Amino acid sequence: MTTTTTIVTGGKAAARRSTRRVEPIYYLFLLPTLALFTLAITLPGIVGIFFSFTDSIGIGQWNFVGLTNYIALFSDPAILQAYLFTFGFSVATVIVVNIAAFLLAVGLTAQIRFKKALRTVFVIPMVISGIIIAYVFNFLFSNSLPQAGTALGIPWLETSLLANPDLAWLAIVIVTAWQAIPGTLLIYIAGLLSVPGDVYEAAGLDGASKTQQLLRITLPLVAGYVVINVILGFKGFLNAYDIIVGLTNGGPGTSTRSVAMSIILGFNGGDYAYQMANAALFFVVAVAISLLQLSLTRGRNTLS
Amino acid sequence: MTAVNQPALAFEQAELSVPSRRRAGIRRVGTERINWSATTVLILCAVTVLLPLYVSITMALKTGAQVVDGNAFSFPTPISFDGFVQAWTLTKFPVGLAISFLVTAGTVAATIVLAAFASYAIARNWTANSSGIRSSICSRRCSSRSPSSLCRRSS
Repeated sequence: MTTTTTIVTGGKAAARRSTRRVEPIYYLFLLPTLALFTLAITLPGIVGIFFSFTDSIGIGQWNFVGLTNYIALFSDPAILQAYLFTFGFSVATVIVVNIAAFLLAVGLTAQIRFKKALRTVFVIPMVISGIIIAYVFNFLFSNSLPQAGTALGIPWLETSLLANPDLAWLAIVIVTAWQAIPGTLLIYIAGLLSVPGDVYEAAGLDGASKTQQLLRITLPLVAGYVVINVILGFKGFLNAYDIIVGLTNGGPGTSTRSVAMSIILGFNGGDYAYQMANAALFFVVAVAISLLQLSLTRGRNTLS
Repeated sequence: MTAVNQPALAFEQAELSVPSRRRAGIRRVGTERINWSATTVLILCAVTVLLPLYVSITMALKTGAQVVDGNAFSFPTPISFDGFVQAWTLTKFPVGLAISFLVTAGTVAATIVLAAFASYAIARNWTANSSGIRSSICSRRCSSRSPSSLCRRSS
């Protein structure tokens, strides 16, 4: 909503609006959505940013403390670690999810048997709640995987991945990817089906191998869908919370504590204003990434 | 599920609009031999999806003693519905379900009505033709096949 309005106000659209009068009834159509959006998102956001300049603990009296919270944020190793973990995890998950979903989509649109059944199986994870998935995988990671590791004689698998501070993030990437692949997969299937078949026919006549067709024809033609999936996925993974809570609860130690988790833990621990400052900073970072990705997308379109 | 079917339908329609001389060619491609290696790989991938589901279902049917033995893939012996009974009573399941249902129904109803009004107003008056994501789909569709309604409006 906000992005649409900011984009609309620029350039051609603004000129058009000044020449053509908008019927008042359309403002009436927009009013309920605008009111709800303001009440549920804009207003709490502004209140939160306001409290980030105070020393409030979430209840009772508070005083203005200026930028103290923000200055403290930048010198807090726990916050720095949460940001590093969140970004590293998001980048890894986006890569894993997009490669896996794209290959699966290519497979699911090929000439295969049981196409309907397989497509159904692959979208099942989409309808299960993240916290349930996390608990099931928690059991598998702490019991079944070490058993398999012992049986196969792989040393780093013999203890639980979740108890290993260096590898716990890997488990979170796997489970998050397991849940996120179906949504990405559906978008890729739609994208692959929108590529006309005669393009492949022509490429086949010109002697292009299947691999060449995949890399030189399919991939460029679904590039728009790749961009959508990367943007949507990255933004979703930045807010990772429920799967991490179910798998490691931020541990071992604080090695897998995401930014969203540290914000929520701060509310319970009486760090309301401090974590509000953290949330405000995170919001700015997320907006910056979105704008960067949008501008990259636009640049790509003018090129192709 | 509908999301899976919709693109397929659109594709079938696109095939129908191809002249008959070409359709014969496409049908020949369509009856191409089944790609068994891809099928095998996909079935193996499907196992990684189904295995955790199998674990969660069998785990629900196990007795408390069998759950803690750490063997995730064993079949529940004896099959016990105690877990279901406890979950039903401890969580006041019917109440929770009713609340979830009411919240969902209310949200969906409000979303459909409000979003329909708002999107109609926006589409009639303030349609942007510079939005990055949409134009990326648009330009691709417009260049490769007949322009969709989405593209026609913004051009």
